Amino acid sequence: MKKPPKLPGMILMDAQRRLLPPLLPFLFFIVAATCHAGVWLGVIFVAEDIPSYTGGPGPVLAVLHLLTLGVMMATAIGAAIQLLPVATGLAHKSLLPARLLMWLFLPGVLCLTSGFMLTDQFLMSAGALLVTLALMVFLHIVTSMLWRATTLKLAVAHAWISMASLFGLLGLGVALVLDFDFAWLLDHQNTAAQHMVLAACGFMGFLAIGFGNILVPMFALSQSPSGKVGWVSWTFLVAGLVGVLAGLNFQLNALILIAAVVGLIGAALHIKTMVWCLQNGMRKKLGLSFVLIKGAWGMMLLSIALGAALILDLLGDQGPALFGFVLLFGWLLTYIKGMLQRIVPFLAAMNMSKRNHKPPRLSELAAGLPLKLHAVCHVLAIVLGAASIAVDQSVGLQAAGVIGFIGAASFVWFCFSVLQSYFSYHRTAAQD
Amino acid sequence: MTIEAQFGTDAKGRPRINTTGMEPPGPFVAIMGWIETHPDAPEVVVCLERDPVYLFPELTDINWAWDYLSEKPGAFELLLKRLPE
Repeated sequence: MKKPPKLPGMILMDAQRRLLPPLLPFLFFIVAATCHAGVWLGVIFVAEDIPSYTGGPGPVLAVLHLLTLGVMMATAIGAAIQLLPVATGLAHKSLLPARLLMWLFLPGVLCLTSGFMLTDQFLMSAGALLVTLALMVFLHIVTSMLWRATTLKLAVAHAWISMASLFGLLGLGVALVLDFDFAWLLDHQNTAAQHMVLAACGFMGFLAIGFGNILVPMFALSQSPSGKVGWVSWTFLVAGLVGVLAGLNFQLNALILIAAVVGLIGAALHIKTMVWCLQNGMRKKLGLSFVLIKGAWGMMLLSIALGAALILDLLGDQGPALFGFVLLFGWLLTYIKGMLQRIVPFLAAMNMSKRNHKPPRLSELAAGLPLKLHAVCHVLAIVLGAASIAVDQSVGLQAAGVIGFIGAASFVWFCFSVLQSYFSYHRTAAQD
Repeated sequence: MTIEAQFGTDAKGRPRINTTGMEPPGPFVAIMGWIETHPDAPEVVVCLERDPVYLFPELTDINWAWDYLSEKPGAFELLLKRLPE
């Protein structure tokens, strides 16, 4: 039987099965955007303690985890649960784990960060338990998809390292929280350093680089870069990560230094492939998002160099905080914000083609002003924040916090304006 | 081995891009790249292994529409059409 005619803009058919209910990934993006504002507010209030911070529970650790869990992990979850099915062509076997994830993760982050803030062992332990459960569910969702994936071998290889790192960082995270009560770890600070390396470089770093291998050529309309260089970069990055962890574990500074150089080469090779995509892509005007992404690539190299300088004891008392700030705020947060401003409207638009109603253009989904404001404020806040930590100036760090908060609030405005367009589209479509 | 897009014409003489066997984002890049480099082309037929859900926001953005010609698991054929300004 002949199918009824289909109108442009209304047909997604089988593809819809790979799209989650849109509010599920969006909830994680809204959480990330809101926590981003919370992080900069936190920076204002703990500015005096940040330059000399070397570890331990308290408000600084709370702000740090609001950033790593509330912003970075929430973004990773929202992006992975929706982009992986689209990229691999595989559907979620069930939506239950993704829904369960939401109910475990959000209270877990609230509980854990409150526990750190108040140095309350019960809240810390309960939060660690909930977050660990949530992230084990996330691990299950992602690995069950990676296991079935037959394409995108390089990106999948990055994702496997990311997931292995997540498994490791969760184990160390629980051990660290319990150590506040039982003091059972031989070296709390060393374990915390391994936890941070696994989280920032292993989990988020590999996930960001893996997604970058797909998203950057897509946005730039470029051929995929050389697979050989990609695999060499992956090998160097894995060797660097393993070397740093082994060096920390056995307290071998020489090994950490060698591993940092190896990681730096791996990162440089990855950036080289990405720059090749931008130079050879057909789309040259990539907008503000790529200003942030390019800046983040520079910060990735700088953070590894700072890590090496920290081991050589060249950074003074502010070294650990400066390294942490450049790594987390400079590289990962900047990269995430650059990618999110492309992904959020894109995912919304993919879910606005269901009905007999023409979908809006990407450029019509949100106003441009919030993104401009966000980009300017973000760059200013990062530069001022890093400089203030380097010279131990808490006033400068507070100013960075205020500027960063204005930028983050603009990003929340951007996300809500996309959501507003989404709801407005579906309301109008329902009336037609 | 890298599989590249095959460019040709279909039975009706319309330009046709076959992206079968390409890994993401290859099909997206091949199709959007073809549209960018053919600013006067009114339509193009595209063949893909997967339903190109990621393509639709970009097509809408440049004022193109799409119509399914055939859809089977692993083989989708769409007609992409430039809309009047």
